[in-house]
Amino acid sequence: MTVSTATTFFSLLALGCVTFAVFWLTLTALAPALPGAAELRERVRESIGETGLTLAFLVALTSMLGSLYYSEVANFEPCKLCWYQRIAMYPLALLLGIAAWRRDLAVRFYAYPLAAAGAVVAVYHYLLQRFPSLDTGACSATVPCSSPYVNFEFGIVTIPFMALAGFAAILVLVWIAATSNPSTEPALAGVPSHTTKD
Amino acid sequence: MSNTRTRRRSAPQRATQPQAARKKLPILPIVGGLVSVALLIAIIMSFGPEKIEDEFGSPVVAGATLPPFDRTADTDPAVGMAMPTVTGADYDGTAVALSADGRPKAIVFLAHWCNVCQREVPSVQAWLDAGNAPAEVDILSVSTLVDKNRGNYPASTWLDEEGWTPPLIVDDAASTIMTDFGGTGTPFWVFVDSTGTVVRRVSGSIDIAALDVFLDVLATN
Repeated sequence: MTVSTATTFFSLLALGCVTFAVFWLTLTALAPALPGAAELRERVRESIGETGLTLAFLVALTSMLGSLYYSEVANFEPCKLCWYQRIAMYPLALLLGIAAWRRDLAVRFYAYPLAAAGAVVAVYHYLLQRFPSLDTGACSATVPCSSPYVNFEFGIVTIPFMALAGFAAILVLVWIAATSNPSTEPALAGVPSHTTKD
Repeated sequence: MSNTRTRRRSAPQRATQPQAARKKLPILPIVGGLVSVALLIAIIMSFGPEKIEDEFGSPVVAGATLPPFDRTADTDPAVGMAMPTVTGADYDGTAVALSADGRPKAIVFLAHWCNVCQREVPSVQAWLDAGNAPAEVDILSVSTLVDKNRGNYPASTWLDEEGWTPPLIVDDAASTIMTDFGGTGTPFWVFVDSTGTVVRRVSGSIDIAALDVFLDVLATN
């Protein structure tokens, strides 16, 4: 697989993740006003259920493998902001994998902060790429944060966009899983009961 | 596994909650299908004109290397130094040289993947097309930091499409010209006087009004 083919594939996956996250958030926003939206949201939530953890794990795993592909196979050296996003994404792959295996919905207490922090960095990184004047206004000859390796595939997708899509999908999927069946959550010794509920 | 267990557990709930009777969407097959379609689209889109493999030049660079440019420094230690001399060629094989030939020069280093360069090239070209460049100053360019795995490749197509007219030298795989001129980011401008002495270096997007001023100073001196 060439770098170009892999980039197209990852870009399509990222667009899929973003579409899903926006779809879910739109349904959530419309649900109080539109019964149809509420009905559809409930159907999606029931259908995904605890599988949301497995899907979130697959998103994190694909994101991690994708970033390793770019750095180790395509030789795209990660910039400083890329590393911050990796710091957020790589533990998610591990945590969500274990949580999906154990069906441990308490993972949301670790997944939300990690994914949210990663998403914030990804948004900033994407803005730097869109508006390089926010940074130095030049493309570094060594490891640029402001100039994209993936050059706005489909007019929008860069590597931090892919990361943002992954973080957004993980947040939504863990949210869906956590609200699908809280009773399945293992008891946490010494933790007050209100912390285990949404 | 988790699906089965979830379904088994929620069966009693379905009896008491009417909305639970809704038919569940087959999420995993849907996701698997979408991922397969994405992979298929990526493979189909990869069939096209074969990519130009290596678009490097083989310039010969001589003379002292300029110190790396530091945009945060108050003064540029390269100012007053003689620029390295370069003999190379453009993408068509036409020979182009950078040397102290008695004419002041503005040399711009461009990287095809650099989004700042992508904005810089059309604005400078429009300024050139409007006839604003002083006739006493040569404007030359270097295509550098070429990487076929990065966006907007090949650089030759990009510059052709932009109608880029300044004479161009193609840098080698090690970006020797860029390194020897002390370039640390693109676009990178180096202004030299008629004796080949560096007058100023600028990294990043240059304001066209500022370019006008720099070139007028070069032309009059």
